[in-house]
Amino acid sequence: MSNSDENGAKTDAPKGLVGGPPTGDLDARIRAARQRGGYGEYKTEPKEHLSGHAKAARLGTEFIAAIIVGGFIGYFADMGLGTSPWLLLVMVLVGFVAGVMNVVRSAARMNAEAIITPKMDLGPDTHRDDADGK
Amino acid sequence: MANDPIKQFKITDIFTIGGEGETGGFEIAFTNSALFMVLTVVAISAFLILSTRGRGLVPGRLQLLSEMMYEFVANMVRSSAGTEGMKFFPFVFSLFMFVLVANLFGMVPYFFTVTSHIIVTFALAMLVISVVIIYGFMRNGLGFLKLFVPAGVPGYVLPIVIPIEIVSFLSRPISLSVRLFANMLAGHITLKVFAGFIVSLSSLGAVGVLGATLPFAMTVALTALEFLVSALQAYVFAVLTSMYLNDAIHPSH
Repeated sequence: MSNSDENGAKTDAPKGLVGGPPTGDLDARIRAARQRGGYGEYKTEPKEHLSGHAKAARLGTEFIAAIIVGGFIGYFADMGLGTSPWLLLVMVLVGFVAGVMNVVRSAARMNAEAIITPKMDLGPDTHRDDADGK
Repeated sequence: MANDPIKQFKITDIFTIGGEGETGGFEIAFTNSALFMVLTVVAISAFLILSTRGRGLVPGRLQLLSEMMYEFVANMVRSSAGTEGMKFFPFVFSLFMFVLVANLFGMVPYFFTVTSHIIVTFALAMLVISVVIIYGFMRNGLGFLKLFVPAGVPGYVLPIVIPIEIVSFLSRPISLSVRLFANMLAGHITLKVFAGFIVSLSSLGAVGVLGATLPFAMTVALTALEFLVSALQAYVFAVLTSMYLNDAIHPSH
């Protein structure tokens, strides 16, 4: 875990701006490389925010978690108020709705962020004209 | 049974402080879980401090690695929570590195997986959600409650929508912690069970040894998958943290 192994090989190379020739013409070299081009495209290239696996990992638990939270709230409210089992039933339903909403909301955000490339297989009966990238 | 798949998650005391008469009668135990949390933090600190010590204008391999870590998390925070979210960069970076290194430590044989206990992941998730709530109220005042009132909803549905939104918000720490914990727990159990099959099958003689190659191949594949899951779950945890922080900064939907 030390830097010496890779720095040791080039101890004679100057570090930073204090050095002479090796970095002295850095400005000119960067300008030349920019003129050759190909560097700007790297930044603008669209990238998916989450991989497919990461998306899948999100949705399942978001649904279940809301039901669990709803159930817990209902159960303890029932214990406190002595209205068993009505609040539990209501809150599990509310939790279910919240879970569906969680999933719909995350999926909508994923869809909005999705990048559709011309080569992508969108499944049968999809017309290219519909796919406006959103 | 030698290959009990649950045994790897057992918490054992390494040493204890206090007890009778000391520290108010409470016994504070330093467990193997705590040991690996300390090791995780030490490893992260050592890595980041040593790799950036050179401060080369042209980075070496290790320095490049830590710079890539920095840029990865910085881009993630900036794209999910905007430039204003960058004040939470140290928080998200610490969480990401802790979860990532703890997960990867769990992949080393005989090491304890800190994140396979829900209390650890739940504590991390509560930390995230507390920051969201406290900062949300600090920055927006009562305007933070707009988070629970979606825009463009007519007044008479609000009594139904608000409880749903509150449950949806409260489910965030649960889903954040359960996701990480369940992935690590299930992955490690699966790995151990398949590895156990190798031992049990190969004790059946020549045919058994031949048959044991199947779970062996499975174990190799699962190990690779587990490394993927380790990194992925750390990433998902950090991305969702920055998304929730974004809600604290801009509470309207």
